[in-house]
Amino acid sequence: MRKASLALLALIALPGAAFAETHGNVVKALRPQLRTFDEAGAPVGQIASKDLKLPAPIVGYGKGNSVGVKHGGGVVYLRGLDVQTDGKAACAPVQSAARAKSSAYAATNMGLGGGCERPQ
Amino acid sequence: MISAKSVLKAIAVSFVLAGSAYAVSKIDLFGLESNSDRLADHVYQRVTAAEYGKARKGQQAVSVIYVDETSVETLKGFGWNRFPPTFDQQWLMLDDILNVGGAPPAAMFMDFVYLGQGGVAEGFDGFLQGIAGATRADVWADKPGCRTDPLIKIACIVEAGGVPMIFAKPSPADLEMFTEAQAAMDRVAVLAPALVAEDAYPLITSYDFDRAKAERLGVARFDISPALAMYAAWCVRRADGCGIAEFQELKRRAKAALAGGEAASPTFAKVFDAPLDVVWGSRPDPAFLTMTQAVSGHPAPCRTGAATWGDRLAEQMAGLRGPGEGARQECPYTLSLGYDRLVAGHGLEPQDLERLLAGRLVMVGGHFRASSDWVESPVHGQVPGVQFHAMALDNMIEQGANYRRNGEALLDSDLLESLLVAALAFCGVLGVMTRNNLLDKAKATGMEPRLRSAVYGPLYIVLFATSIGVVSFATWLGVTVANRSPINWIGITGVAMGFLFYATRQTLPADICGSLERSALARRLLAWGRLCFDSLKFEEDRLLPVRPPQTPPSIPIPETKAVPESPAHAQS
Repeated sequence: MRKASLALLALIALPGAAFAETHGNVVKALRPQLRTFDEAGAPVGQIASKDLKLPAPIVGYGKGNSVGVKHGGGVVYLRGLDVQTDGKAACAPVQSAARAKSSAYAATNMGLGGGCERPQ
Repeated sequence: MISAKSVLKAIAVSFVLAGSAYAVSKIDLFGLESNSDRLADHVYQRVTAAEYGKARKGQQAVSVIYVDETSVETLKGFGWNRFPPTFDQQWLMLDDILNVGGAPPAAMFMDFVYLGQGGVAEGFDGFLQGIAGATRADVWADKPGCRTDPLIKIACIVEAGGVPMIFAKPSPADLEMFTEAQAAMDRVAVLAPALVAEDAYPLITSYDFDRAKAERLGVARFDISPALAMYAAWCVRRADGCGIAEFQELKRRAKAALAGGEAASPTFAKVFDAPLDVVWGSRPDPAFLTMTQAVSGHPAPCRTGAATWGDRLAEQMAGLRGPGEGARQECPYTLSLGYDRLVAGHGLEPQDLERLLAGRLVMVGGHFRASSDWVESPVHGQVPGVQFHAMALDNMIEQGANYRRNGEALLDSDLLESLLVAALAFCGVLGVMTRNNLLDKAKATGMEPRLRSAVYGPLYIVLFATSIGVVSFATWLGVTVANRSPINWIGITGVAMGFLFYATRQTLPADICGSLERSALARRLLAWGRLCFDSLKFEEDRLLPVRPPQTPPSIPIPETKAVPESPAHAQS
């Protein structure tokens, strides 16, 4: 019975740990109040940074690469700007659409290039 | 050798030519002259762009935060479910820029116009309060001396410990309107007319409005452009005032104004006496390349440009330069980051944000493809308007009061160019006359064939090369010493060359052929060419079976022929 519990615990914990290892943790809040969103980007409200238990494993990413962490029994999504993470931010290039020949100067070139996707 | 009559004749010819050139430039038929002016400036800039800003003083100080279609789509993940976003979201954007660098920027310019024509929107008061807090309006806004003109307002904000926040507005000369929303923003921030011409970036715009009209339009004696406003904020923060005495005086007057005294900014009309002719650089900021790699996962989709003026000159051949799009377009000069990348924070380290924002002059604007706020840059092609303001500011930081003046706005550059044409024509006519006198004497002494072949070809080369050299030197002198936009070197060279060819049209072919015939190198090349031709012909004949075999061709050595005597030498 005890061995079975341990096995069950391992089954539950290991995937989460592996995910956290992939995506890292939120290790520091950079603002006293953190704006929170749902996965689709709808504003949920704000939480005090002291209410966030740190380090908080990143459990997923929402629209626009918002950072998902567990809070209050659910997952809230934070702005990457408001928190500091320990994950290495590798970025997968996104194939960008080809521009028509002789088109005017493209805005992407004046900025930081094409899109970016977090490796899932 | 040259008589006074000849000199007078040369003067007359040169002034007729210069007068014609002046008239053509003033008539500007079909816009040919103005387009030629612009082309001359653009080519000069493209060739010399790598020489601009080698110390990277401007790049270290100026950053651009932009919003584009991609940003708006990405920011849907952070509550931006409409555009323009709510005032709360707009303030959050400014608040982010003010805070996330670890230290606030030295000044901020927002290339967005707030007119409030749809009525005061929800959240506008909070937006204003946020701006007032950033500029420390509670310290200076009730001091009349701090509101006399935009320059002293900026100095007061800095003196009060705030961050000057400059917002775009339409020029009151173009749009006689000053809305309640603008008046409210003017009480806590600085408004600067942002619609500027591409060929002459204004610095100070003076108005002759009477007092009632000036009050109605909410303007002081003058307005300043966004680049000058940001530069003023930069200079009043520096102990040396950027080496401009008026900025030191401005700091002193701002202190007096904050103490409750009456004050106005000193006169800057002598320092910034003409519009700025924006110079574009081509070497991208290394931070731009590394940040691009970090946030997008691939190298910047643009080329870093040739490193020397010689390489860039070679690039002017359109075949090498290509259509200037995609990866063949040059990278932006100013360090630029999309606001969505800032919010997502992906790939950015704290030191990146510090490099981008802390103590910098941050310009915020749109890169929307669908907007009309794009300008034509000689080096980069089409660029968003905010990049134009950023480049103008970069010019001021790099060159200070010695910024490049717009030639057209200062003096009659057409007159100067016509005088240069006159000087070139005068020298050309004298040169041709000298050549004809020499020919006359040579004919009289029987030395004409030898003299013609040995002297006249090189003489023409010297004559033409000198004309090109003089135009090049005058162009370089005007730009680097006088800090003026380049003269129309393409037009002047065209006129000078055309005139020289016309003046020598009857004798030039015979003189050049005579010199070539005497040249050993030319003879060898001729022999080599003939050899190649004959060899090819032999191969062709050998492969044709029906033809009888032919003997290999001998290698003929061309005989030196005497130069045929020209029927008559020309008088210019």
